[in-house]
Amino acid sequence: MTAPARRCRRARDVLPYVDGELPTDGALGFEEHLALCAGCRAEVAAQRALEELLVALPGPRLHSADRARFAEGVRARIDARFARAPCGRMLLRRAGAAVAALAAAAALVAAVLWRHEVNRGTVRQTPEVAEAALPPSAKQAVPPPAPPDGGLLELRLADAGPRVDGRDDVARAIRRLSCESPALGGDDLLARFVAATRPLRARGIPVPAVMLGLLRDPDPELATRTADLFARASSASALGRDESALVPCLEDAMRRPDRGIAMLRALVAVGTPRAWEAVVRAARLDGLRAPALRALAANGDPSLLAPLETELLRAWASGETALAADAIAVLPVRRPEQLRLLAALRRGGLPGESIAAALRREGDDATALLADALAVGGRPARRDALLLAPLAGGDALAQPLAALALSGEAEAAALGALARLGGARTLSELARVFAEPSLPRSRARAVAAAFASALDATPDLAAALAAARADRPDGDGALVELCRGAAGRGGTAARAALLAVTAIDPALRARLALEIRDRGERIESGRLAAILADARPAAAERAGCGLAAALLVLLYAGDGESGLLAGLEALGLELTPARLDRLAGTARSAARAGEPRAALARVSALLHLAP
Amino acid sequence: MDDPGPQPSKAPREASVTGITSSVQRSAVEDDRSLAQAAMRGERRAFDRLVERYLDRTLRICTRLVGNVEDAEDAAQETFARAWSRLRGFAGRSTFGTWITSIALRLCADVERSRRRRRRELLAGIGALREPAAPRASCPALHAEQRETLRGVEAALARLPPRLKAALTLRTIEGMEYPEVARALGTTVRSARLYVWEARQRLARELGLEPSRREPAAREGPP
Repeated sequence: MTAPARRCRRARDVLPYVDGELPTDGALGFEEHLALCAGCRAEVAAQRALEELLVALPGPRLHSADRARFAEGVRARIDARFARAPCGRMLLRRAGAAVAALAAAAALVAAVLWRHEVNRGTVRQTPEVAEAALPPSAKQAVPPPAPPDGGLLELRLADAGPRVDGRDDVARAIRRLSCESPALGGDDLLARFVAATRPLRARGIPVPAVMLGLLRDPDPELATRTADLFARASSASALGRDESALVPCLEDAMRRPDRGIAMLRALVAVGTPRAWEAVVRAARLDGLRAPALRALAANGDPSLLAPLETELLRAWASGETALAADAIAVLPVRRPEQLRLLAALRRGGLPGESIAAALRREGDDATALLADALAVGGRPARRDALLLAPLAGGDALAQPLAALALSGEAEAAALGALARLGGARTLSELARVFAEPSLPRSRARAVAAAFASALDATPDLAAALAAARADRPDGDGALVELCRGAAGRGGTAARAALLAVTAIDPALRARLALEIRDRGERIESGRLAAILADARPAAAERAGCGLAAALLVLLYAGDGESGLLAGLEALGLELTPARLDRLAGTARSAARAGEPRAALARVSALLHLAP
Repeated sequence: MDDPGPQPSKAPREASVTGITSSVQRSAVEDDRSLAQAAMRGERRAFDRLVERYLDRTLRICTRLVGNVEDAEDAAQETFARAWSRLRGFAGRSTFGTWITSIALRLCADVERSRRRRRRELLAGIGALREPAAPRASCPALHAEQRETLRGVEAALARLPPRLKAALTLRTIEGMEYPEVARALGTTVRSARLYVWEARQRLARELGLEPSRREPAAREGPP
């Protein structure tokens, strides 16, 4: 290890110099020093390099459409606020209940903030900046902060003993409000409550503080209504950002089964990080488990996903399957972290259907996320995407999966996903990979196996094959080759489907027909005759004649000589009895022989020389 | 390419170098003030112009501070919405730009704080901390190597303490004057300077730009 180099005493000027903070004289003097000091020169160069990097950092660029969307978003937020907190001249237009609501909200906020500041002891911001942090209502509305009556700690203690002064009055106001205006909406109800409690505040009763105490009142109905009022106030942004006093009280009360759900609702309405932490804890309480998990899932914030994952896996492990499925059903899937959660749940054993439903609900968004993860994601993201891709539905991910398979990275997993995906694009992409000249034989076998499984997973095979052909018009060879080799139900159906496609080269179709014969697969004779009739124009050519011969042999293998006659009829041929006998004999041997090509050639020759 | 809009932050710094406050700049500040006054009277169009004027800078700052574009856009929108509802609190003691920046900083600090809190919760909940992914800004024109370097810078910037990050962003990236930075951060000019210098030193150290690492045998002598 080398000893640290001695630092130049003027090194302290490096940052002020680079930052342009040295006065002119100082800067000139330092530059003279730089000419002599390699150490300082190097430090200046390092800081300049850093500055260049910082300035070169790509920032977000908004195109005109994005700017419009952004401005629209701002307007929407303002409109939402404006309904509650008008400014300037508009304030005059909205008198009455709204003003009353703001006044009460301000009282509540001021009380909470006042206590908060007293507890903190210091206020660091300059007056203007501090003002910016206040909720609007606090500045527009009238009342000064509530008097320091008691304090929250005393209030909570008071729950166990004698009531705080004003408790009955506030409780009465809340009960009356609920009876008189059961159908009122959020802001109206809040406004009424504010108006109703104005005289109480005038008497010095700390209404918000008393309300905090009511959350633990023995009467669950009263506590529920109080929580509801808090929820409405919070939804109306009337509580400000600092709900530090409210959240612990709500969480405390939430543990009582007779009011838990109301408190949980209020916590969700408050929606601060602390409130969400309380919701996470609620997910471990028996009575609140389902709604809390649902709320956490619906929020979908990346920071909540890890506890959500833990709780959902726990629910799954303890047999609460419906609960887990219910939560996943509302999880948004628009961010990579949410994909990661779904993959973790899948690995944890949650059923694919629930996860597939979540992915399919988001449609294109989820597909785009998965495609991104497959194409440019890191290894963990790609692993998750490979796991989830088959559940996403459709074959939109076939292309990035095929690209992965072709690149040789995670090839087996990519082919496995393609095999389960199915669909026209999947078949087309697999044929493309198969046709790649550089593909080693061992990988070609894996691609063929994936293709066979993909055929099984494709619902309307004939249409899918037609679409796959349309996607890659020059790929018939690979497609036919893959279908020839495909075992299983899908393979049988695919061979029969491709045999009927007149646009495919007759020689390729003849090979398909032979494959069908070799495998002993049956195609209904009427259908074969129809294919033969379609092949009639081509039968004059050598390749077409080969196809006709192969189809005739297939017909003979199915229906014997009557099949042969039907085939000849479809071809429009009438043979002399002797030639018909010879044809039947040759077809018989072609249909039975282990080496049918020679027999087929004879059939072909007989057809060619017809009648 | 779209017009990125006016860049109000760069001008004051250049002006201070020459010691002259240009009339153009003065009129821009006055213009901001008159637009803000019009907005206070309820004129939405005036406020829209302010949004348009400060949109890019606010979004840039938010992106640097919260680390991803989605949250940054959300924070920036909220910044303007909050500014509208608090226009009466803008008394003109600072420029409108500084005032709106202070709101943005506060919102970004909230985002950062909530992330930290939630991470603690994760630790308690699952016993392992997932590091947030390094923020990535897409810029296809950049070469892969350069992109990698910048990604490293972004990641190092993201790891700075919020206050240092905010100070460095405002001063070095946005080019704001120290008094403005101090006002936006709610601190003194001296503290703002110290924050920026500390941030620069930490970043240089973390990115391996320190001379002792790059050139172990730096010697005295002319260049």
